Amino acid sequence: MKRRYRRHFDDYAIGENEKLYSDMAARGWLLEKRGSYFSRFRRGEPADMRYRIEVSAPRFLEETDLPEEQVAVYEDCGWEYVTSRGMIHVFASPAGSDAPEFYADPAQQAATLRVLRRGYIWAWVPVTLMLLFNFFMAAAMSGGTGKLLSRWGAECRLGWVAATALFLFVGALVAWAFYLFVHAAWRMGRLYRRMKKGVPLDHSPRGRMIPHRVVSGVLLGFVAVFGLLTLWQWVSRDTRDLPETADGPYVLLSDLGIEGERSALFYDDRTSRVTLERSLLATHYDVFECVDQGTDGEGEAWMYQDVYRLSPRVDRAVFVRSLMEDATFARGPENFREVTVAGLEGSWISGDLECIAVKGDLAAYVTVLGSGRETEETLLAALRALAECWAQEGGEVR
Amino acid sequence: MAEQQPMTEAAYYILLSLLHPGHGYGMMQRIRELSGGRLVMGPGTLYGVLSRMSREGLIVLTGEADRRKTYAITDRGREALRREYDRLRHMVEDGKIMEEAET
Repeated sequence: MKRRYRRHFDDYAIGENEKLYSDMAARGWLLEKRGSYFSRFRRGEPADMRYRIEVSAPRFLEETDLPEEQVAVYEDCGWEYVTSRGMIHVFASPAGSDAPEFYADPAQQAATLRVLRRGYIWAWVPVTLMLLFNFFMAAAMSGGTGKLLSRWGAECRLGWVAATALFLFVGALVAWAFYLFVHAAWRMGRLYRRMKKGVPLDHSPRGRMIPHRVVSGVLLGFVAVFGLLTLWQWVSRDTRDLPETADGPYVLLSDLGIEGERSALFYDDRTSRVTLERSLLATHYDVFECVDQGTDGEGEAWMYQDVYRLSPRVDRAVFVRSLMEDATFARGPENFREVTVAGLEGSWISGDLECIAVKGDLAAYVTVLGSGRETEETLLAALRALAECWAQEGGEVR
Repeated sequence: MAEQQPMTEAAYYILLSLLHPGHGYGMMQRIRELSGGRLVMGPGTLYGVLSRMSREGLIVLTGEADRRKTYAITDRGREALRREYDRLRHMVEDGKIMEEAET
């Protein structure tokens, strides 16, 4: 049997849904089942049908089904039960039949919408409570709301640069969901108030909610575009073994005078590698190197580097501040000290473990770890090596 | 639960129609006849009032065939109907001064 699916209107649009089903029946597509987002129709003879929606009002934790007696009364009156989804129950009757409307008094029908309306009005509560709970848990663990907010701010700014498309995707998704929620709550409230005042439900509204569909469609379009872009960027990121000589604006441990065999990280077998990923605002080299310094008891040394080639649209001062805010050990700009290194436009050091460098469109956050290597001298060597490397790389000076 | 007083028009006519046991559709037709076509009750309204009155013990389910349920008025329902009828009659009688005033 031939079947067709159509996106139906959300539950609050009672008249619009009724009209959709009647219009489909007139074209020979008879409603078979209403799903969450789509309704299924089967091929039949074109028929002039009236469709009516009854909304059930279940109490807390109660089934959303209509009581059987209620369906029986409706069927007695000439309404054929068709399908249900959640609180929405659809009945049909041939257009010329003498099956009476469910309610002669709109105010009485409005009363049946109370539970549906409550659902729309309170829909934001669970999500908000969950977010608040997470927020306060995180604030308690990170030493205060102010600290947490500045750290999140920094993470967001870094994320915006390093994963711009993902940020736009999430932003569009949130905007879309928020718009749908606000629009639905507003429409539901308006319908309820009107009916309570005695305005009958329009079973065949002329408007097809075009403005709403355009706004929703545009937002959904953004979601799709940025989603695909994110996916493409994620797929095209390139991770490979770290070459013996640097092939990008990053340095190797040997440039710092730390020689040894390449080895694996002792706790998770991670080996030296470089990941190259591109966002709309930056090219990001994520470099990890690990060497065994040999048998003279010095053990392993590791270096982590995040090197960014930034688009001119990125504010470098803000970006550097965010790197400091997000630094693993320093955890804030107050723990960084500015140093002068020839060939760099800005360089900072924190606690013998981390340093930050900028020049032109390049910025780097570097951590060096290893026995006997956690010294300011090592960090200065790293900064000097970066300065030399970037001089050859030709960082564009702005 | 105490029944609503004064009664809604729908409740009053449903109780009247159930002086003879009946089912949903039959009730709606009888109500239309009783009111001389003035009161057309939809099945949504009918079901809402039926379920409330059966909770309040004014009517009772007497039979079921083919999902079609037959309801009848209870003694309590009869009393409530009688009280409402008396109340309405008094109101009409009291209202007669209007006619006297007009003559």
